[in-house]
Amino acid sequence: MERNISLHRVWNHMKRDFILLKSILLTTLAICAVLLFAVVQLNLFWNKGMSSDVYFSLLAFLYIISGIVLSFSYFKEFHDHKSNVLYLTLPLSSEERLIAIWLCSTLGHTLIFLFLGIVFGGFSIFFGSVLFGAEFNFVNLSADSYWKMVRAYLFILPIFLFGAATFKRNRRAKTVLLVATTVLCLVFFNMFLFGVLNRGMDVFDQSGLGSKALDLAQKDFSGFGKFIFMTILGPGMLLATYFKIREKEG
Amino acid sequence: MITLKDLEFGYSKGQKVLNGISLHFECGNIYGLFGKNGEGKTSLMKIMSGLLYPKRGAYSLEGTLVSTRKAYWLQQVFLVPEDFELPNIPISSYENINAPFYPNFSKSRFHELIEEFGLRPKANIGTLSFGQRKKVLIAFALSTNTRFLFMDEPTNGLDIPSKSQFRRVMASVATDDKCIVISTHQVRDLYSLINHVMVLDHAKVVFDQSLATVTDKLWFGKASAERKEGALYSETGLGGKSILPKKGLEETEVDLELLFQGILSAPNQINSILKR
Repeated sequence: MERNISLHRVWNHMKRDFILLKSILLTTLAICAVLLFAVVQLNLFWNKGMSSDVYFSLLAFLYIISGIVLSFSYFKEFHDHKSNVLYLTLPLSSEERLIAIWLCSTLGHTLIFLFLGIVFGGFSIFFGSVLFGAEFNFVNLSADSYWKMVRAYLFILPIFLFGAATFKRNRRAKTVLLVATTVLCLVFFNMFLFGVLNRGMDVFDQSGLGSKALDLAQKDFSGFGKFIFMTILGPGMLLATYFKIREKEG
Repeated sequence: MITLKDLEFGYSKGQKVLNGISLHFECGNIYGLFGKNGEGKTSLMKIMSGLLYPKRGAYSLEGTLVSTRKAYWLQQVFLVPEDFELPNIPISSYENINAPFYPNFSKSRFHELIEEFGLRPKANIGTLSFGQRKKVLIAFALSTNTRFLFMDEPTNGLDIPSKSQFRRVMASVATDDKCIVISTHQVRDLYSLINHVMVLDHAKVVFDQSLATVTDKLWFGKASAERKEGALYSETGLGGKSILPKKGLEETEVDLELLFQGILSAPNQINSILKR
């Protein structure tokens, strides 16, 4: 009996996705390149230089937003009732479908942005430096902000993959709404706990303390919180996405 | 070999689309699955392709119970759906991105069929008519060389010359190691192609016989007034054709449309003659 996961089939699925989504991938990449180029030029023109942090913040913004936007495209065929019969009867297991989509949207997207960030970003900085006589800096990949950006993306993406697999219509808006509602609920739950646990201090009676609690609830991210977010939320959402795929297949 | 045992399926509670369906499909046959609109033909095809799960009953393929979709199992099955959409890419690209999933895919067969259907491999699918897109999909389906091929209303959208072309192509690919199931409500389109008839009516199988048995036991044609009295089914109107028990009459070609009408109006009488 054959294995349920074949790397060959995963690779074929990835190739299939890149060919079918070639147009939207190139368009998104082109938009990001133009935005990156424009913002770099403006910075070099006004500030006569661009710090590594500013550059990577810009790249992170483009990398995460475009990744989230594209993650919904990978599930387009999955929800389209006219094309999903042929897609869902392709000889692929649910695991292979998920792995292929995850690799395309993480590894594939990161590699593309690596190229964009280093080669195109480097060219933009060089171009702006020559044109505006600004200070020239090489794009440094060992910068901590770059790897923070990749890590953040890896843990945010599964939430959007789950939304893309779950909702049939208005998938982006519904996912953003779901995330916003969840975050808001968590903040209020945190604030409520803060108030209950510090009842004796008359938290909500004294002016200022209530809003302080809200600020703390938003800012405080304990070690346990980080652990929950990084080890449970990301993989947990991927697992939930897997079950959504299985549900749809049957 | 596919076996369906006591299958039950419905989209909403209380409304059964399929009820107590038990069927057996052997390789080396082309089955015609007939039924009026909304009688569950598409649902049955989707269950057999693993796209839907029955509420009750068992479905086994080559002796293995199908409860989860495995890639090796899907490699043996191809479904040509009635309503579908293909991506806006050249035919050759469509082949390149989907063929690697089917280990027995024949590139040469695909190109032969595309040529036979009067299409060019470089043509963009987005520019083709529905009938031409259907031909692309049929050519792809036949080239996958899957053991089980299910086609849901394959002649819908095909013009008259294309329908006879379809019958010719289908007849050329039917081999002893393949089981082909064609579902349609346009019974006439499968003339001279199928060798087994199955009819669904009111969520049940009302007929399941080989055409050899039908030819052996039933007579089709314009009967004299005297003979018409013993007919199992007669078309209304002047010069209408009838189905009679053969009983020493000369052998006639099976009139699929007449048989279908007869089964829907008098299933018990026809089945009792065939089971004798």
